[in-house]
This record gives sequence, structure tokens and C-alpha cells, in this order.
Amino acid sequence: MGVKLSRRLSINLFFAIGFFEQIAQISAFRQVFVNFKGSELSFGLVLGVWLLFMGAGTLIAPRIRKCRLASPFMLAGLVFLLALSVPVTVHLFRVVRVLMGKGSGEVIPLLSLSVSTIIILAPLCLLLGLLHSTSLLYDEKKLNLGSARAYLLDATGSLFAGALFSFLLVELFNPIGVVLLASAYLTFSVLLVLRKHVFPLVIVLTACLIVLVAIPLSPHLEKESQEAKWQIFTPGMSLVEVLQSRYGEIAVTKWRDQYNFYLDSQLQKSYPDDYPAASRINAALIQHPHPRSLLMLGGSIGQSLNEIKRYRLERIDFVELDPQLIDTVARYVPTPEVKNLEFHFIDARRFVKKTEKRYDVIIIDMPAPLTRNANRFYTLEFFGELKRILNPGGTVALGIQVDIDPQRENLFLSASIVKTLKRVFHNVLALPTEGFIFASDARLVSDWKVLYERYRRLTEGTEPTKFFQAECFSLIYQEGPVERTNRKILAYAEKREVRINTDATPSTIGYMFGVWSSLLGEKESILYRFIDSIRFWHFAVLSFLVLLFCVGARIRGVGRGKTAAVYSAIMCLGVFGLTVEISVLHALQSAFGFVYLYVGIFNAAFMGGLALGSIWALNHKEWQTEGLLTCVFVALLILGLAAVAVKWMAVLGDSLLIIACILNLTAGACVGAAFRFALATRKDAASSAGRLYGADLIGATLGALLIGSAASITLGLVASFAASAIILVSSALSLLLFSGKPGKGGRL
Amino acid sequence: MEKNRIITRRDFLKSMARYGSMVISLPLALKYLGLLEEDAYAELVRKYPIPGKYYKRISGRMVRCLICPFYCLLGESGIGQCRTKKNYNGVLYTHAMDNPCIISVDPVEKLPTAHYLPGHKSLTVAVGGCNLHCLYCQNWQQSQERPERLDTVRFPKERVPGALSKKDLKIITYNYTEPVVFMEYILELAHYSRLKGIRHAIATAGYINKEPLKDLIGIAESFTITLKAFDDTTYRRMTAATLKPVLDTILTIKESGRWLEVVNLIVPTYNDDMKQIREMCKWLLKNVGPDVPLHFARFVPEYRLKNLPQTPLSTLEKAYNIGREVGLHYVYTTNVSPHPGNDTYCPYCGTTLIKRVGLRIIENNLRNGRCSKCGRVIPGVWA
Repeated sequence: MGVKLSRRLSINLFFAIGFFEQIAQISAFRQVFVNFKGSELSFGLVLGVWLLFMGAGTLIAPRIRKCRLASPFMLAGLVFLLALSVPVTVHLFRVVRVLMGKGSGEVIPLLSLSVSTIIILAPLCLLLGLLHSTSLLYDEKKLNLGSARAYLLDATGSLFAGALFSFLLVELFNPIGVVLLASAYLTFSVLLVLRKHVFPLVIVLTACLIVLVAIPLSPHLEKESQEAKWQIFTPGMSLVEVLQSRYGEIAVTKWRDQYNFYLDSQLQKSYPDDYPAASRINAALIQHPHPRSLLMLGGSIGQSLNEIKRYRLERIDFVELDPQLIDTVARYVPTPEVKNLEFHFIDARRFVKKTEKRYDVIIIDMPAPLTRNANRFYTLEFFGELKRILNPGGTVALGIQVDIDPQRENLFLSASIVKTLKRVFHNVLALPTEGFIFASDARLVSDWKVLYERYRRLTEGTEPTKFFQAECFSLIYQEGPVERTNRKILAYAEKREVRINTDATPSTIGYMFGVWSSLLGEKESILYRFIDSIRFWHFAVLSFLVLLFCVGARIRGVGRGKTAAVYSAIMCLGVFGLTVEISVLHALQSAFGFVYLYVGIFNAAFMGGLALGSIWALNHKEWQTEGLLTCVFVALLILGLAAVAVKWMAVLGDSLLIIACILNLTAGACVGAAFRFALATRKDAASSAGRLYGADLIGATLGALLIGSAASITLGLVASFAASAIILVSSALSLLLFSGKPGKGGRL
Repeated sequence: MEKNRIITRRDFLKSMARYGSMVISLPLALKYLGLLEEDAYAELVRKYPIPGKYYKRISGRMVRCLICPFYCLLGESGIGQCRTKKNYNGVLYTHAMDNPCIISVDPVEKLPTAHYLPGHKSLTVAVGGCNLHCLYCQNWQQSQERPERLDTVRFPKERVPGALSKKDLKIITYNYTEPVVFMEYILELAHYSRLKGIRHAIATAGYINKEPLKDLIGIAESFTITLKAFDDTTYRRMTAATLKPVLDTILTIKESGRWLEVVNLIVPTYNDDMKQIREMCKWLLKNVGPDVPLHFARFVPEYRLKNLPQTPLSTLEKAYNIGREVGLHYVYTTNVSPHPGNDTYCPYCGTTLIKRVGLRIIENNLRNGRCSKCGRVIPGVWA
């Protein structure tokens, strides 16, 4: 009875560790995501740092064994620290600005942000790694569950946590509340396991009580934490509320009589939106000589609607992805009554794809393409979809800051969008004053006098608003700047190095990073310059170096050659695993934009695959190098399939979600199985495990940072898969050439 | 035996570190070489030795620039805060000569100015660089960069008459970036075009020492000074410079009799304290009189303050009312249009003298610089 209970409690312990790890990772991920303005660069950074430091923590395990520290005390101490440090980490991510000494509303440099993320995340990951290894050592001594089962339980806990977080916890609890719940579960699980050790029990009980007391206080703690964040971000302004939407974090601040709306810490709109909204909407609508129908994809709902009323439009469709955002705005801003206006709460791309209606004017007012989620509205594929729903002579007004300024990235960003639009429409006109690029197959007008007359004609008989007059067109369509801007942008759009922006290869994201970096001077743009300098041939060189490393080792001895081939294969599979995991998240952001909510599921799918692959390989130990080689070939196949899926993601629609889960699961399984096969090739399996794990971690970190974060942005997703594949090819060659004949020299 | 020795973890990690660092350092090395090339490009620009009175040789090849209150101390090849001055062998040169990054035809109202030749157009010239580092700079791409790194046109003094006559212009304005940092170029253009009746107007932050300022006063007819804040701490936070020299510049220009207008860009949470605004208005009233126009400009999220919201309209209107309450005769709101604060009113009878929408003049009721209703003189440069 007692043995059975102990076993059940141990099962629960490993499940709880997996659960806790996953919740901690998702929570950290979401905070970093918000700090990075919703940029997918955060995916690679978090996962890379996570693996590196958790691995480091795990590798300290043998030392702990030597120091005889693998005692209940160690386990209790770690759980105490972890249970309290996760909520603290969440808070630290929010207030990290204070360390950078930046003033109110000031942009944070990319490099400082990345470094601070590493500093905050590293101790947590190190502790988690230690917990992982300590619990395994404790199991070895006391519980005897076996590392394979523990591994599987850990992965199952992760999977469960990912699903529970995305579908339930996120709706019911605030971010601090969720991590406190996970802490409570972990401390309770450890409490049961350590029930016979008095002092460790007291330590864990203390942690458990602290967490249990904190749970009911979590709304208050969350409020305090958010207020601290916003007091650092915009000192003096009052924080009205913070909401967790499926697409990111919405915050509302108030300054004097003005409400300001932020999404992922990026200012979106301010209300009352008087002059800017009035001039923007008129600047866009006036490009059509007789607008009758209007489609607005995003945008403001205050003064814009008052201006629209003057045009006597027959149909207005307003599409907003996030109903929560409109609801929030509507709570603080009076929304004008507009006849024929219909709101649609649906992904704008989906709306454009499905609708059978046709429009004279389409206004796109989305955030700048710094993220894949936003970039979806600036791509060649999307412009093609827009053209389908335009009436003959219809106009598209794409809201984006137009710059012809000297910094390469500013100019290239505008030129890239113009070049992409030119592929679909005959005429393109950039309007620098209001930040619009117009596109149409009909003639576009830049002469303000013509537009002045057109405006008077179209709005005849209606009462002018306080914030706009026909004369304003002289300011909006200033002859000199408009002419100069278009001349320069069109000239640059002809250049070969200015790339077309597509869903899979988002050139504008790279340029946006450049703009972000250039804001803060040369020193701060080192990271961007490094990312920007990455080219495909660098990975070919890396692949060659892997091969060279194996050849070098082979020259020094047959055994060394074999060993090098196995280690290289594990490292390359580490690169592969993280490339798939992160690139899939990128693809999902490009297609749907709600990774903020569902990140846990996709991460958990990979973890689940890792466990399944590992268990499956345990039953096929005899495969050894053949197994490893098979894993490499399967990995190449997965990369090929992933590339096809990404290339056709617009066609795949919702099925991409299932494909993404399958890709993550199989990639995880491949890496998990390969690790076991590699281990089976070693004579000294026990001591080789650490080294192989090290190789895997190096590969995974490289994959996360170099390919998942950097190359997937600068080179695109398909090229990222190709980069990973080219590295794998060298490991396959090494295995074929140096690992001995199958069946004979399998074990090294 | 040795041949079959199994590779150790240490060996493996060493090799990986070796090869990894090679791979990582390769692109960085290339980028570094790229930077060297860029510096080589800097050597191609026209290096113009600045007048000896604007700098001082300290010892050996060290020089101290005397143009602005930063007094940059530059060693060999040292570049000033403004990014335009460089020390070559103990002689201070400017790279901001004949190479404007902006040349455009604009209404003079763009400076902004309300009482200087309203409705006239001008040739605006701007060279890259600035001695301040304002967090919200709207032209940061030009102002926070070295002129030789910008996309520029060659525009020597000889081309000025042609450029002006082509568009029938009589005014050159210096705007967008900071004219103080390319004042040698301004002086050269001004001296060359003096006999041709060309007029010059300058929009500046006024962070300049007295001697060079006097030279600018000698050639320019109008100054628009941006007074970015009225307390030193805020001024430093926003611009990395100090307030006192700017106030001195305002006083010097006023004393010189040149036309002067003052701009205050109101940035939420930085300089929008109404007490501070009232103090600023009082200071202006006391030191430069009620007739110097004061423009309250609306901040829009830009440059490093992209996450700070625009100035609430109510704040702008409050500041406008304070200016008038204090006793300033000509207070304006800019960056919001149409707005009653864009217009010029007669301080004596309240008549709308100039009605504006944006940069356009819709109605002008001035008659020879006098109110068309009460006949009082309205200060300014009207013709």
C-alpha cells in the first residue's frame, strides 16, 4: 500500500515539475513577447536562453551528486526558490525598464532588451535545470521510477499545462495568478513526496503557505505589478486597465482628458483623436472620385467616423481582429452613430478572403510590420487578395509611415512596400505627411487643388467638422514633399537589393528592426547589424565546418571520427529541433497572429514528441547508428514538409494548426529518438549522456538564436528550413562516412 | 591505442568554440571592414577649415570648439557633439559645407513664423547634424547623423541665385536640422547673395555662444527659437543640453532688433506642467516684451518617444490661454489645423488679422503692417 502510494506521489511529482516548467516558460514567454512589442524575435531568445541555462543547471547534477547534496533538503530548497521566483520573474520583466534609465515613453534599445531578458531569465532556468536533475537523482535514490518514465511524465505535465493554460487558465486568472497556481501545485506535490523528512517538509510547507496566501491576493498583486510597470513606462499617467487579449496585452492609460491605448507596450491610438484621425481619413477617401463603399481594416472609431459621415457612403464595413480592443475603446470613447456601418470581428485577412462584397476604397490601418502578425497586411499575397475585392478603379490606402530619409532601413522599408504593391497595382502614390501609400489601377491624384475641388463636391451640403477643412489638403498633399518622396521611393523600388515582401519572406520585418535599432545610435544597433548580416552561405560554411570537424577527428583516429560524427549529428538535430519549433510559431503568427494565446500548446507538442520519441527509441536500442541516421533523414523529410506547408500556408487555412502540431510532435520525436540512439552507440552511456546533452544544447541554442530568431526574419522561413537542412546534410554525410558499417561497428 | 582515444567533452567543446567563433566573427569582421570604408568616404567631402575665432588650439593637436556651449574638446580626428566638426592635425574643419540633405521650396510659415513675410515661399536648406539630442526630434534621420553619411546634393554658393530665380524666390530659410552646426555654410551663402537682395531666416534651438550668434545675427533677418522647456532639469532630460544659453540667445536676438519668434513644443509628462508654462510666458513678457509671438506646438509620437501619446488638445489650448492671460499679444497653436489658435488677432480690437489653415493664408486683413480696423501697428516683417 505504502509503496503504491509512494509511486503515485512520485508520478505526480514529475508531472507537476513538467506542469510547472511549462507554465513558467509560457509566462516568461508572454512577458518577453510584450516587451519586444510582439516581435517573434522573442521566441528564439526565450527558447535559446531557456535551453542553455536549463541545460547548464542539469549538467551541474553530477557535481551535486559528488557533493552529496542530492538530498531532500536540496529538493525542498529548490522548490522554495522556484515557487517564489517565478512570480518575481514575471514582475521583473515588467519593470526592467527601470534598469535602462529610459524616460517616459522612450523606446528601449533592442540590445539592452535582449541582454536584460537573458539576465532575468537565466537564474530561473538554472534553478529549473537543477530541479530537474535533483528530482531525477532523488528518484534514483528513493523513488525508483526510472529516468525514462520521469522524462515521459515531465513531458505529459508540460503538454497538459500548455493545453490547460491556453484553454482555461488564461481566461480565469491573471498572469501572476496563473504562476502562483502552478507554484502551489508544485509545492504541494513535493510536500507529499517529502512528507517523511521534517526539515525539508517545513521549507516546502512555508513556500506552499506563502503561495496559498498569495493566490487570493493575486488580482491585487497583478494590479500593483502592472501599475509599477506603467509608472516606469509613462510616469505620471494613470493606468486605467490592462487586458489580456488572445493577440497580446492591451493597456489603457489616461493623461489629462486623453485615453491612450497600447498593445504589447506599443502605442496604438489616443482618444479624442481629433486632427490626426480627421486628416488621415479624408486624405485616404478623397483618392477615389466617387466613393460609395468603404472597407476599413483596423483604424480608429472616433473622429474618423464623424468625417466618413460627410461622404454619404452606401456601405461601410469595419473589420477589427480583436473585439476586446473595440469594446475597450468604446468604453472610454463615444462612438459616433454612422448609417450603413457594420462591424466585423474577424481576422482581416480571413474577411478579405471570404467576402463576396466589392469596395471602392479599402483603408488599412494596422500596426507597422515589426511582427509577422502585422506583416500579414503588407505582403504580396494580401495585396493580391485585396485586388479581388476592389471595384474597377478602386483604391487601396495602406497606412504606413513613409520615409525617404537617409538611413537605409527607413528608405528600404517604404521602397519594399511600394515594390510589392507595384507587383499588383498599376499605380502607387506615397503620401509622406499622413503616412499612406495608395495603390490603384486607376490614376492617383497628388495635386491638392484637384482634391480640394473633389472634396467640396463630395461633401457638398454637409456640415464641416471642427477638425478638417478643404484647405487642409494643401498641407496634406504638399507638392514638394510628395513629389520628392515618390521620385526617390520609386527609384529605390527598382533596385534589386530591395526585396518583395511576402508571407514566408517578410523583408519589411528586417527593415523595421533596422529602424528600431537606428533610433538609438550605432552602438545599440550592433545586434541588428549582426542579424542583418546573416546570409544563407553562412550556414553552408557552418555545415562545411561540421564536416571538417568530423574529417579532422577521423584523421586523428577511427574512434574519434565515429565519436565526432555522432556528436555532430546530435548537435545538428538540436539545431533542427529548435528551427522547426520556432519557425512553426513564426508561420502561425503569419497565418493567424494568436501565438500569444496558444504558444503553450505548440511548445508542449514538441515536448510530447521528445518524450514519445525517446520512449520508442528505448525499445529499439539495437538500431544505434542506423537509428541515428534514420532520424537525420526523417528530420530532412520534416524540414521539406515544413517548407512546403509554409510555402502554401495561405491555401492550407485552418489545417495549418493541425499540421503545425504534427510537425512539432514529429520533430520532437525525431530529436528524442536520436538522443537515445546516440546514447546506445556509446560504450560509456552514463558519462556520455552529459556530453551528448551538451552537444544537443549547443545545437538547440544555435538553432533557436541563429536560425529561429535571426535567419527566419532576414532570410525567411523556407530559407531557414533550408539552412537547417544543409547543416543536417553534413551530419548525415559524417555518419555515413565515419560511423562504421551498419550492424558491425554501430557501438562506439 | 592513442589513435582510438575517444574524444572528450573538453575536446569537443573546445573544437566547437574554435569553429563557432570563426563562423560568428566572419560576418562581424566584414561589417567592420564596411565601417572602415564608410570612414574613407568621409574623407571625400569638402573639408572646410572653420574660422580661427570659432575654435582654440589647446595643446599639441587638441582643439576646443567655441561655437556652442558644449565646448567640445577634440583630439586628433575627434568629432564634435554636432557630428559636423572634425579635428585634422590641430585645425578644426567642418564637414557641413555645400552638402545639404534637404533643399525644398516651403512656405515661410513652416519655420514656424506668423509675423515674418506671411504667405511668402522660401528655399529651405538643411545640412545634417545637430548639437542637441532631443528625444522627440522629427527630423532625427538627418539631425542625428554625420552630414557625409547622408544622401546629399552638391549645392555651393554659386548655385544659389539660379535655384532662387527658377522658382522666383527671395528668401532662404534654414530649418529641419540645426543651422548652428552648419553656420559656416550659412555665412558663405549669405555673403555671396548679399548684393542680390536675398533674405535669410533661421529656425534654431539657440544653443550657441555669443560670438558666433552675432555673426548669424549679422546676416539673418528673422529667428525662430525653440524653447524646449523652462526648467533646466527637463531641458537636460529632453535635449542633453542646458537652458541658460538658450535664454541668453533669446535676449541677444531681441537686443539686436532682429525679428524673433519663440516656439514651445509641449511634450506630455515632460514639459506640460502649466505652472512651468506660465513662468515661461511671464519671463518672455518681462524680457522680450508682449509682441514676440509665442507658438505652442503639439507633440506627435516620434523618434525615441514613439510610445508617448500626442499632446492632448486641451493641454495645448490651456497653454494658449495662459499665454494670453499673462499678457502676450501674439500666441499661436501649431501642428493643429484648422484651429482658432492658428490665426493672428489684433491685440487692441480683437479683429482677425490673418486667418490660416495649416500653412495657407485664407484671409489677410493687414494693411501695411497695421490692423485694418483700428489702424494700430502690428509688429513683424510684413514686406
